[in-house]
Amino acid sequence: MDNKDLAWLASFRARVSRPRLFNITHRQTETIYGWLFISPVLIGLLVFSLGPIIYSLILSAQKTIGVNMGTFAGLANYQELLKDELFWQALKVTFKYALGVVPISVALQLLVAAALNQGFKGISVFRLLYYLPAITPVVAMILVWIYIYDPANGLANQLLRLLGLPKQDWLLSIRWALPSFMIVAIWGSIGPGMVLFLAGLQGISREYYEAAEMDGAGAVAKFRYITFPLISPITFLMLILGLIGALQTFDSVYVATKGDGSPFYTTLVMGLYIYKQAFQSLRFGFASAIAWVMAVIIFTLTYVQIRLQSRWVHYGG
Amino acid sequence: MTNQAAIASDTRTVGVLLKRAKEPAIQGLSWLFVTLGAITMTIPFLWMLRTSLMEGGQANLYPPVLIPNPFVWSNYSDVFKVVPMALFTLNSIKVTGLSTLGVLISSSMCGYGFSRMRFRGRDTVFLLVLLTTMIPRSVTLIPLFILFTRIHWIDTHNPLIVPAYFGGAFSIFLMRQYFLTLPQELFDAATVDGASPLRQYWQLAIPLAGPALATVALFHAVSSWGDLISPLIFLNRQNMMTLPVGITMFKGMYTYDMPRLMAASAMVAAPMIFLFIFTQRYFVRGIALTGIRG
Repeated sequence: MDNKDLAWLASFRARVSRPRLFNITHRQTETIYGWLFISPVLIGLLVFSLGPIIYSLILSAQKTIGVNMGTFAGLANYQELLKDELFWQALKVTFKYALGVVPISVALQLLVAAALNQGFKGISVFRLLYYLPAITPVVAMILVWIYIYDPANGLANQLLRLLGLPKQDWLLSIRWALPSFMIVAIWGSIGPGMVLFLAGLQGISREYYEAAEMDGAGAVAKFRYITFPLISPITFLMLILGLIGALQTFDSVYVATKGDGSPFYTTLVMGLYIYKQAFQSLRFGFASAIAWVMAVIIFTLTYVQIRLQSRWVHYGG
Repeated sequence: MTNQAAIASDTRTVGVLLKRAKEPAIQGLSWLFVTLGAITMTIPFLWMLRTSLMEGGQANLYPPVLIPNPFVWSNYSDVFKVVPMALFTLNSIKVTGLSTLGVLISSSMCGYGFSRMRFRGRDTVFLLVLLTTMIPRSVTLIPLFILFTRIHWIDTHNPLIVPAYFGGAFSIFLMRQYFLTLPQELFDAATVDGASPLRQYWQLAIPLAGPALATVALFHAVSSWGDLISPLIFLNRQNMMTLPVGITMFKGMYTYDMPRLMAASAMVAAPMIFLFIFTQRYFVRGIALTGIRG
């Protein structure tokens, strides 16, 4: 008897021994229940993700007035985009921001985790303190930072004074406004990544280090050849997620600059520019085109990172 | 059992410490580094607290005064007189509460379907769910705004609540990962006893999923409580606003009233900070389980 016969026999027995209202097999039942269980996300996908994605593509090829149906305009929005100085400014600002925030954040997350992994007491207290900025609403936090950055009487300038450095205008300065936001972002990002790195570090077997020590490896060599390769999947994940997040920054800049990317558009991140075009100028078509350019940039960068990972990420060490 | 584990981990710690004693310099430097970092993390919070208890004039002095003198506790109650803080708070509680309930229902159902049910097409849909997390929010916000305008949901709390009842990739992923760790034998036994998949979900999986549900609820509550852009876009009327937009409005009106602005910020931050202090392990578990921050 082969499998087919066995299956037939089983279904025959089932039919004979337990008469049912609907003649369905166990497998079919499971399929029905399966789709039933995931039905919320199916609706969610259609209504809140895929539908809007398609509609956004259509919008980006339309000249629109308010929320009414626009008229087809082909690539006109994209052509206008290329000539739009503020778009290029926003792109520049966004990349400066992301390229500053992401590597420094990930490096600090790893450093703090490695330091915490040295085996001293009170890890949970440190973890709590490092995590606090991440669970506090960004709006509440940026309000404190605005005050800290106050050129006249802020804590930041007081700190510079104690160090013997000249005062800065921080958020009001063309040179320092964007770095000021970057500092806040880095400050807020250390906790969650650090917790993840710490879990990874604690999972590395002592035996690797002991073997390396017998071979006379120092601290740097151990980090370079054992720690770093073994936690590289976490580093990779944090780089990808960090970049996706940083390229979409909005909240802090919106609140601190009253939504205009001041001074002189030096903090006009792309999230803010899209918001301005869409919800202040009500140019939904044009704003959708910018959003899609941003989406393509994010996909491309993520794809490149995934392709490059085989060079330095080690799985299943 | 627990004692043995504690002893085992103690001896391990001792062993580690002995080993590390060879490297006191590294350990000392590490401790210094971590402590300085922790102070940096904490200072803005202390500064918020300090300023919230000051008189307006004192908060503007330079060099800054460290300790408020006198302590002006009334700054906190004053916030309620200047802006409709109580209303904002009620709105935030309503939105966060109802949307968290929605995420718990939808993510546990979908997570269960994606992990314990076997059917054709399951993994394709799951991949699609994960892929949607790659789409920038700015792509979907505009169509959603148009959709919500057409169905007259602008200036209602629906746009902030209803989508939570239809999934959320991160929460579904977390629930799925958790349900996958439950032993298959448990469900086989239930099947033999004639329990339908719905009963297995409700009476077997859900009671076992307490910690995962807590993690999902906390991550969602934190992000919903702090969400700025959705209320900013979907709400216009002041009496519908949630706290993040509310205190942004406060800032626009009273930029130089730092103490009260800080008092308002502290009141927005405090619920999440307390929640976190008491539920820290669920956050850590959630991060470890998924590798993603909420």
